[in-house]
Amino acid sequence: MDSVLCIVKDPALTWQQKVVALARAAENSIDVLNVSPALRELVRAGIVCDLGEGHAPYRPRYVAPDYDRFMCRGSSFLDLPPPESLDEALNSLLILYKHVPSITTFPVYIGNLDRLIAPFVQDDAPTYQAIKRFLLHIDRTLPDSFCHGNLGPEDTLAGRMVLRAQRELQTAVPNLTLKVGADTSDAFALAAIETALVTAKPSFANDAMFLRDFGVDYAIVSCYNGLPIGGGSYTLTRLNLGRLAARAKNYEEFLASTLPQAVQQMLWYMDERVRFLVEESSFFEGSFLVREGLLDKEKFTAMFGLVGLAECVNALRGSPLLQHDRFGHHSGADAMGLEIIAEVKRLVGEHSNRHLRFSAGHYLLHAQVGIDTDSDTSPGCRIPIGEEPELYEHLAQSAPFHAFFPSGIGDVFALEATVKNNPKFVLDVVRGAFKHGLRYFSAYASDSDVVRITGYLVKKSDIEQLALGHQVRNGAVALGKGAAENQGVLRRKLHA
Amino acid sequence: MLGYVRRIVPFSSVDGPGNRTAVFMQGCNFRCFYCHNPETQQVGDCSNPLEGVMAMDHFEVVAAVLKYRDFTQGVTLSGGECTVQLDFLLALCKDLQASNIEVFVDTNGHLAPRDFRQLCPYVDKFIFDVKATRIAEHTALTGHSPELVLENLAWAIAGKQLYEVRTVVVPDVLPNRVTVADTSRLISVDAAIRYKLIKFRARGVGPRFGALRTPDDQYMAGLQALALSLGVANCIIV
Repeated sequence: MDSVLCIVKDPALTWQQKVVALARAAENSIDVLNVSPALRELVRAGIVCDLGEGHAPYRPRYVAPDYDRFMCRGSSFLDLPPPESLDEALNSLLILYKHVPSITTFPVYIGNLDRLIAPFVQDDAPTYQAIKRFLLHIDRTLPDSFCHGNLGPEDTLAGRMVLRAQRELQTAVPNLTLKVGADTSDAFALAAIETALVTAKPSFANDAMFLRDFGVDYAIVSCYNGLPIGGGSYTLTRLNLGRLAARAKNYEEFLASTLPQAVQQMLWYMDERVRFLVEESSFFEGSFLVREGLLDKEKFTAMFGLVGLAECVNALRGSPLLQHDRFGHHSGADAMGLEIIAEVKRLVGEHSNRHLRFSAGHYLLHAQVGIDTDSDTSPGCRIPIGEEPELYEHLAQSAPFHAFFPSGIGDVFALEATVKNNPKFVLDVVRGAFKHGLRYFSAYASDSDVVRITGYLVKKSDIEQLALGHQVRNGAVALGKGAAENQGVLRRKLHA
Repeated sequence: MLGYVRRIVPFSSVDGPGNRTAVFMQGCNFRCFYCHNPETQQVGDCSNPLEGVMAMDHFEVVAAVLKYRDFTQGVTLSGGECTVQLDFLLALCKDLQASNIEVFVDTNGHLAPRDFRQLCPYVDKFIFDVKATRIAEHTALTGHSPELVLENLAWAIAGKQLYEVRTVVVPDVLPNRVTVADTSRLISVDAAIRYKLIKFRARGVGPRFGALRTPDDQYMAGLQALALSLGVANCIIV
């Protein structure tokens, strides 16, 4: 119970952050999952990690409610009729958000905002002020960087107003993604880029790719996770390929036994988490979101996460000292990386779990962005910070990996502030990258206070406050501070 | 057609609109003290190969540009001073145009008007450096009178082929207000032309000039206000 007392006494936690931490401590005080000794050993070695999901899953990790349905039908449990005005729409959404569970206790998806409010939006100042207040309300009451809204792909007045408000507010929450496709006008995309160069959001999702993988009802959730609307992901566990590689004598052994054994252990562990959640936790029997059709078991899947491909490849190639021999720079190293990911996809694809109904019984691959305490591990398939090549080479290297990860992969690019004079530069890069198979693109300007840590946003000024021991509203600032200290995320190569 | 290229930058955000592949050619006919790429000044040829300079056939340059075309709005041919290699430049522009690549040429404008006009049909837009408009200062800075520059600039403006003019602002040394005022009057006839005022920065210039000061924000804002007051539609400071 020492940890409980530590939480209670921690002066750097807000009351709300303490409540969340205490709930986690309570959940972790019981042991209900049937976990093999082999898996426990992999967890102890840092090879498999449940990413703080807890010992007794009682809600899906990521929930993407069908907000469009809510807008059409209202909610009988919340006693809310369908909204008939902008005020009612925004108010109803703010009410519903407080009832959407997730791993963070805050909603990780708040809807395709422009589509939800478009029917009520007029081109006048009161409408704009209401949207701005709505976004401010979200930042102040859902203080978590994994809270994610979507925009697009169509150009709408509502979308433009959301972007303008974000440029003015410059808050870290909500995270935002613009779906960029054939329907996205250049003018709308440029407004989004101008916003991103001020406040590090939105990121840009390759609409054509997500449409192929999910159909039209997809959401970008939490960091950059592609998931079906009306469902979500039961769990996300990750495999640290870099640490796993250290256990293999050579590449042949890695492919033949080290990797398949670890993948199998992790799949069984994920199965156990899913089983407990779906069959024992009562979530699907008890939640009004399910009862009212905002969530549907048919639309759930789960995510098999990977980190540390760069470290894995470099280790298996004898840890070359020269950069041009390493992952991200050497064609042989990159080819090995692709071969490893293809093998993981094959192994994961051979496994089936009847609860993963959206994805025909299969787990979806996810390039996990890392956690704050990682110090020897690059996110997903990313090139390590400090070794990034020039922008074109970076995109060309990265794009082939993106096809393997429907439930999320992406790169983050830090740009010189002078790019603000030429936002079309970013649009050209995004359109080209998407044409070449990149799934997801994030950028921020070097002089921005809001910065993208790995997949989520944090204010640099908040990190400084927390470093001084002061409370900050956003619980994710602690994660950003760790990532800045351990992974150097604020030292990315600058592109101009 | 063989030419001399210092480097090809696949993605550039500062050489015209959108993302552009920038081709920096070797050789310049000016010797500005504030040049940040003095290594591109010397003219090389087969009998005088320069370290770091690539001798390339024009179709090799086109192939390099095409590799990046999905990611770019076009190409900017720059230098050095790209018009120093006029025949190579012409061959390159013609082939790029035939490949449907948008071609910008970044030039100091110091070439015979006949040659400049020969180039114009194969170029979408020009970026001009106007270093000074008065004869004395321009000659002192570059070794040449600004006459050809201003004549070619006027031709580009009349032909709606001018995208941007750049002036490097050096306090105490150059008549910055005169240059900005004269240039602004010339380009104000077309609202599409952007005026970029560039702060002199001592870093990277020769040791004789390292002591010169960088203009402060207030000084730059004054020049920007001057340009705007004279009808320039878009004036930015970098």
